[in-house]
Amino acid sequence: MLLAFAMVDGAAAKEQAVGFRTIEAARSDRNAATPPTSGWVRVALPDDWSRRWPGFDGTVWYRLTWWQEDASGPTALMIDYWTLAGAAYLNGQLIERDPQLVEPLSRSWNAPRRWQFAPPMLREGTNVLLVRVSGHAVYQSGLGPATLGDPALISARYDAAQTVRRTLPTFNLGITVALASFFLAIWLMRRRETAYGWYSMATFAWAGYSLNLVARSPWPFATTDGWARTTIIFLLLFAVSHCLFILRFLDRRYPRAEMLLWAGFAVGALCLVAVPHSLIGATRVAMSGAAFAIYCGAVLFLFVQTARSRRIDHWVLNISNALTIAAGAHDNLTFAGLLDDNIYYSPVTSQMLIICMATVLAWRFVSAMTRVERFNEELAEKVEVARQETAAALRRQHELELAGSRMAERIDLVRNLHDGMGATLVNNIAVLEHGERKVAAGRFLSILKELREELRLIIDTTTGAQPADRSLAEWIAPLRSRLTLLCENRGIKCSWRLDEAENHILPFAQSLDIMRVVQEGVTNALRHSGASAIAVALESSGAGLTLTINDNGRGFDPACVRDEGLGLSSMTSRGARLGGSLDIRSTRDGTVVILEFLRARRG
Amino acid sequence: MHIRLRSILEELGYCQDALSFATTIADARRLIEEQPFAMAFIDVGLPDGNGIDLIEFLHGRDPALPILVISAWSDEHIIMRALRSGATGYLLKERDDIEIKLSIRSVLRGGAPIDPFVARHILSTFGSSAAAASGGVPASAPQSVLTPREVEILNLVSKGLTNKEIAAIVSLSRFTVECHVRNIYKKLAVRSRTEAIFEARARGFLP
Repeated sequence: MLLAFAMVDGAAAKEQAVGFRTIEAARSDRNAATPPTSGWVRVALPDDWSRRWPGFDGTVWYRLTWWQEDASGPTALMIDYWTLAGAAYLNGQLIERDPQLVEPLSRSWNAPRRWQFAPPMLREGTNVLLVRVSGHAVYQSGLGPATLGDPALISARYDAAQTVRRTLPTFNLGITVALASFFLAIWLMRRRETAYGWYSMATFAWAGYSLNLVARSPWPFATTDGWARTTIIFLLLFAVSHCLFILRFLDRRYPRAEMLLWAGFAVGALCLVAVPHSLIGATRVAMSGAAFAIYCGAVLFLFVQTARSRRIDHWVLNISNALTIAAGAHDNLTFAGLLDDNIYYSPVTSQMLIICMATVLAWRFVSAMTRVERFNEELAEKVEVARQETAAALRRQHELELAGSRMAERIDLVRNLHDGMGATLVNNIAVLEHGERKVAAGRFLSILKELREELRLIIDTTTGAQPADRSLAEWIAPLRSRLTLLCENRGIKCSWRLDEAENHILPFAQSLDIMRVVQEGVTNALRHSGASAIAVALESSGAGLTLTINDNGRGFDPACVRDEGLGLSSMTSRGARLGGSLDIRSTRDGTVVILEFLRARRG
Repeated sequence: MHIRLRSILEELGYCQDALSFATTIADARRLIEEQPFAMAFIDVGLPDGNGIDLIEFLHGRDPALPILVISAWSDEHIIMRALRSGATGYLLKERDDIEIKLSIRSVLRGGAPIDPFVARHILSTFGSSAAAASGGVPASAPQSVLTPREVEILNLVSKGLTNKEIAAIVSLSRFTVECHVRNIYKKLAVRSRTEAIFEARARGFLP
């Protein structure tokens, strides 16, 4: 792209003066409406009058003449630019005029012009093109190359110049502003990424500087000097911001050096604002040189710091910087008047810059995303591992608890069996072993029945699948209903007073002992006493409980029957086991069995 | 149990000819097809199937037939399932002959034997599903929720009071109390049937 423009430019330089017989220039008053009559000197285009008339600020007239052999066909004329504002006349007739021919001047220094002439305006023989240019010596004022020839040829040339001088700069300005806004948005949403903030600032400053290439109107400045001062301030700002961008990009901070840089910027900006018109030229050359130096320093710093880096973004940035420096060097020389082509490459290379920055940004974005994704994968893996561990631990815990509760149930059952039947078995074995040798069948049956009663109670109470903290009343309920049914069947009135039992929770063995006493006592009364009424009562007596079984039967002599049935002796031993006493009082009018034992009250 | 039951029934005055015994479900079904019976005793642990199914079958044939389930252990879950399937009562194997006799006599009189643990279980069953029903299935609620009087009776039973004692406390005749207990059993069966209907509807077997 760059090469192509260079070639076009070179071709234009060769053809530029073709066809012109004379090219002359003459100074005049800034407000003169007609060309001066004297003072014409021959010049070559492009012409920068500051070399001929140093320090001249005002209007210069250029007179170009050519010989037209055949005026029947159209002829085209093109002027690459005039600096700064101007008007053109062909054979005395106005063909072009900038809106502002006095300060603030229109800015036509980067605007190509083209005309197509035909008779009667175009004459056979000598034709005169008069160009009136207003400008200042410090801004390289003068007239650019002029070309005369076939309309098709001129049209092609014009289009190329238009592209380089107008279309591309405008296009670049738009993209630059967009890029700057984009980075500004990133920085606003993520203040920690100061590199983006500085890049945005540098890009905005560059856009401000590039405006100079595009603007045609002097607005918003009152003078041409205003434009010039501001443009260079933008350039300085660009250099300083870019320097900070590079520092932040490399994660560096040098507070003192940065302060110095900003102080330098402030001084430079002040100078630009304050210097008188006569010194603007020198100042702006100096300042743009300084900006270029700052920029080069930052770029060199980046290169040194990243020379061994393999990161793509570093190298892309280095390449883009090299391009920018090359273009900038050319532009600076042009600016200083050392090169005559009047073409500035920076706007063109800034497209490369944009592509490079897009690459850098994309690289950073992609690498950040990759990091995030890898992190997410690792996180997911860790979460999964933790989840499985937790699940396994929970399962183990659950299994343990289940096994524990099963074991506890089994132990409960075994303990109930042992506590309930164990004692009776041991007692009876002792009796059978040490007592009389021969056991009567009736006695044996009663032992078996006792064991069966015991077992029945255990089954009744254990299969209920009730929690262990049943109250005594709940334990007794099944027994109560069975015994009462049996009593009712025999027409015996059986009454229960168990209100106290509601509030007592006893260990299984104790509950079983109490129930066995109740069972035995009521069964005895039912079977042997011939009573018509039986009363069972459980009452609290001080710190203990008193169980009373009362019947109105014929009674018996406890001393006589003590050895007969096991019932009475087992009742006594149970009383002892409960830590209490069992008392049996029997008269002819009835029997009372009283069991007293200590038990702490609950609830 | 077979022999024991036979002797108990004979003591109650039934002659040998009136009693038929079957050892398998298949036998039982055949016997049922041959002649009508006034009462059925069913042991749930039969060799060729579950006695509960037989209870359902018998109840389906004749809802008025008294069915007593014989349970080897006082396993309340089996008893509850039998009651839900339509049994009118239950006998516990490990009880004395005299107690079994009492139960049978009570059933023949039209009563319903009930033990404290069964009462407790029914209370908890209705208590828990009444709470659930109030949220979801309004249609089954009117039939299957216990009346306050029934709850009161169940509470007294669970405390170990006999039907006669309960009758004295709530100032009703003993027969009324037994009638209440029978109704409770019926509700259990009805309840399980309505649940079945709901399930069938939910699965699309019924409109």
